[in-house]
Amino acid sequence: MNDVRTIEILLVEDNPGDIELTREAFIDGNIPHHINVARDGVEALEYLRRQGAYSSAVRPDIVLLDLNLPRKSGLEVLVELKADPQLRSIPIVVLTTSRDEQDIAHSYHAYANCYISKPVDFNEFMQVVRSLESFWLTIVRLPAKPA
Amino acid sequence: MSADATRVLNASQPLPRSIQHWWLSLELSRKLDLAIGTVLLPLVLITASLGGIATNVRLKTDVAAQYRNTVFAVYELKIALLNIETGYRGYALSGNNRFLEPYRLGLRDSSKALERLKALKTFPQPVATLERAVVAYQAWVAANLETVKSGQSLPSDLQQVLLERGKERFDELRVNFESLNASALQGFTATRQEITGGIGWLASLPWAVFALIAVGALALRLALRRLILDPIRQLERAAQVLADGDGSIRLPVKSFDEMGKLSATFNQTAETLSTRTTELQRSNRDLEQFAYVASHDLQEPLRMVSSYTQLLGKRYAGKLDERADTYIHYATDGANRMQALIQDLLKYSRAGTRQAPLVAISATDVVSDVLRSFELTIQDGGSSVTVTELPEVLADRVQLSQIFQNLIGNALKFRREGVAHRVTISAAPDGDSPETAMWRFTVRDNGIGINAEYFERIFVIFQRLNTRESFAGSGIGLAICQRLVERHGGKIWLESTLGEGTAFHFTLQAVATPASLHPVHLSATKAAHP
Repeated sequence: MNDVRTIEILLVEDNPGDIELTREAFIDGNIPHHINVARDGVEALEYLRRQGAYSSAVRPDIVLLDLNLPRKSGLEVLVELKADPQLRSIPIVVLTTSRDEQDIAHSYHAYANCYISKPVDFNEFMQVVRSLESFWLTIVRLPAKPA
Repeated sequence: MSADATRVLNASQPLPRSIQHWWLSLELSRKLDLAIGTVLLPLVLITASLGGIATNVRLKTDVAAQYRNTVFAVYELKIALLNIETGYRGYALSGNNRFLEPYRLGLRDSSKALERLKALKTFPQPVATLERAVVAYQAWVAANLETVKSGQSLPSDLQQVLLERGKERFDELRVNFESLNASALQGFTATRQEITGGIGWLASLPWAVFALIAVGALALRLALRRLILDPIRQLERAAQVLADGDGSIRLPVKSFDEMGKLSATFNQTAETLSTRTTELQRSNRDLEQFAYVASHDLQEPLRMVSSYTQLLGKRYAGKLDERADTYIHYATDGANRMQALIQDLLKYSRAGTRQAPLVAISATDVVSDVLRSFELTIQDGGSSVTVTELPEVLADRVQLSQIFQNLIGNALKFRREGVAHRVTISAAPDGDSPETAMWRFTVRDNGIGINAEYFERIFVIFQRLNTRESFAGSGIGLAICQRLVERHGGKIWLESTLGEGTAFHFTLQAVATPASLHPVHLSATKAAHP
């Protein structure tokens, strides 16, 4: 179904604990992947646009985006990405602790591909990341990367 | 000069300021005294004048009686003089002694009548004149009688002279007493007319008094309404508004009397109440906000602690020594418990926020749903649950489920060893709250029971009566229940005997009056686990 190539993931998250937890959760799955991390909204956009230090960055297959970020919020990042013809085809998964109805509505309004509230419980969190992995990285056919 | 000018100007106004002020600051009892006095005064005046009139009539009647007696006395005098004249003439003509009898009678009677006339003192001057004439006539008659010899008649020429002279004198006398008689009669008639004229209007007096009383009663009624009834009604309505929770109600303070003071005090009470309410609402909101923010913000770091201890356990269990495994276990357990506590705290603070508008909810449906979620617990514990017919109540569906979830959960949890566990859920109209129709729900069990000294404490957040090892739970369930029931306008309480069982009661507003809605048949309609 999928060619055996390494899936590129961009994790936009400022909390190192969450970064590590996400990494751990992906390790449990058996899909070859590579996680790149951007610690705030500005960094995420620079990464995706290959600006500054990220001139040689690899275009991600999927972006996991937290909403509560320093410098530029996740929602702003989302709006800018979906306005960029080059980048709008990359699936964006909003992965956040927020359960706020407003955040959910705003995210989908800005064309987020899906919205996931991080479960508080560790095991549930692991479960969710695994589901995410199996759906987006196994079931779903992602667009081919532009050359 | 200028002061006078001002006074003149003020005089044209309906009520000078000073009088208005005097009236407004007058005590209510004084005002009522004044009002009653104003009504009574004309009646008192009428009564007093009636006394005067009565005295006057009595005096006038005496006067009239004197005039009447004068007329009688003059008449008696006239009869007596006629007797003298008759006797004298008969004797003079015949010399017969039998004519001397009327003569002597006339003499005596005329003197008596004269005495009476003098005693009456009605017409002193004419009476004196009359007396002189009578005395002169008597003397003349007596002198002429001397010339008559007993048993002999006078010569006819002398008879003729005597008779003519006598008639002349008598006629002179007649003029005197006729004029006196006329005066007396006139006096009598005039006095009688005065009396009749003075009391004629008395015939219309009852009507006048009746009209006065009617007008007075109306005026009193009006005064009572203005001074007491209207202010009391206004106060009653305002008190009702205040009782319904609107502290913004204020009464107009129209005077400084008791009613005015009462209105002012009422306003002060409403002011205090609304200030207190606002303060309380604010502090409550602050607390709720604090509880929410605190628990929400605590959750984030705790998620890290809990996740990483679990991750540690997952990755390194068995790889370190046994003690490390124990440490990891306690750390994970503690973190999990704290997470549960914070979840409960969040639930509790959410229970404080205002729910959706209350709608008619079938308690039977809610209880059925809740019991379904406890199916396993009921089976495992071998409990038998009985639900009687339950009514519809005004509630928020989610919150009502939370209440039953907690109470039924407790009833199922605190079982007694070695006893067939029974739980009953029932409802009855609540007689303690007559003004609003309420239903009282009861969740009863025959479990371990609660010592009466803890009845208050168990509703306090995080208060537990049993060790964690014997019964699980954070001690928040009843605190949430109490909060939710109170938010629904009800109250919650319990009866319990240690070692026999517990009954939790709570009240909720009925959709309609319980009695008219539902004759209560407490028949067991459902046994979840026979």
